[in-house]
Amino acid sequence: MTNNPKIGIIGARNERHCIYLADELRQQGAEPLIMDNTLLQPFPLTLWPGKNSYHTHEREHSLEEMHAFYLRALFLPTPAFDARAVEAQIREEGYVAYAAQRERYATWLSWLKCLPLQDKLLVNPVDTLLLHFAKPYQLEMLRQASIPVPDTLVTGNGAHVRAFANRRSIVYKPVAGGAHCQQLTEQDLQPERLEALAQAPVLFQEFVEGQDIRVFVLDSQVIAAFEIESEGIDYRTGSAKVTPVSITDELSDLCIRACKTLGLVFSGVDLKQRSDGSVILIECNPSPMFEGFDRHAHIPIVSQLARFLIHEARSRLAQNTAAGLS
Amino acid sequence: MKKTVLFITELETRRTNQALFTNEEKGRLDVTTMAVGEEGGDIYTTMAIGEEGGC
Repeated sequence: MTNNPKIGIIGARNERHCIYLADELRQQGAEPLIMDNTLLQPFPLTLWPGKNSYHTHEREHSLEEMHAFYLRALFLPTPAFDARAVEAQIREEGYVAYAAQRERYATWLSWLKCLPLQDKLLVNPVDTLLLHFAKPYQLEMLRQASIPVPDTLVTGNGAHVRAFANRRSIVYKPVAGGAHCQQLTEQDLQPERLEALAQAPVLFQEFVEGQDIRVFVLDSQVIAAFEIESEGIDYRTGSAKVTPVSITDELSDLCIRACKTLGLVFSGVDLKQRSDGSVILIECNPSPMFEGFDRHAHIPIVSQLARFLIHEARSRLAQNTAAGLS
Repeated sequence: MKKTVLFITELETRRTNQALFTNEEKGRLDVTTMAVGEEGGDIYTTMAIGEEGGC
């Protein structure tokens, strides 16, 4: 067991980063277990102090002998708008369908929040998922830690948008995610467009001119950094050139400090570096995509992440064994 | 009832989670759309919180 630790990956069994990390863990001699928390599977988790387990139709896995977990995604308890099968269930069954999903979510959430109490590692802590979903909260935490972030406005009030823009270059994006970052135009400032804000607020930010940089931080160390060349405002749209780079100690320290501030063990940090060398931190991602960056990395991010998880699992198992707990 | 119109019109359409900077390999393309189990269907960004890739 000590030589082949079992590592849990919480997400979906067909999600590409879950599979990518599982493949790497297997190559490094660990036994990965993708723990599927999507809405449509038979509920797999049993919480019983000292006997926690995860079961599939094939077998039951004890969670007591597992000491390191990677959190890729925690699916919402909702009647999620896009979960067509659940929508059908809700139409047919009404409130009971929602109640079932809520109970499933509460059980997953409880187990994830208990892991640190049991001296188990969770990368990242479940509460940090909120940092991606509630972006103004993340920005305020960073701002209070004196980390430079863009001037930001979240509002449903068009007059506030006009005052905020004030002849500056502004971009906007959703508060929770789900759409690309876009440039605010004169047309966007017309009354009929601004009226739509009353339905749902939007996050507006000063546009920071400069070089896009993505830095990966793991366990308070920078493990990879990339410059991204893109024609669009949002480098996720269209084609982009990704180049691995070395970054200064000052920039490394900034990224590490940001991750510590937010409680992130692993993160993809997005920054803008201005021509004068100053840096603005755009966002720290609590469950970053890394497969695409690995195609350009000197040392694959996935191999470093897997090595870290395996090391943590082994050392925690050894500690528990010495203490007679496992 | 007045129809809801969002300032960010992109939010009005379903979006699957998307990978960053990957060139799909044959045989792994099914993973891109993140089909959920035997029932089929894609994983959409509004179904989960926190993970990057949903734009």
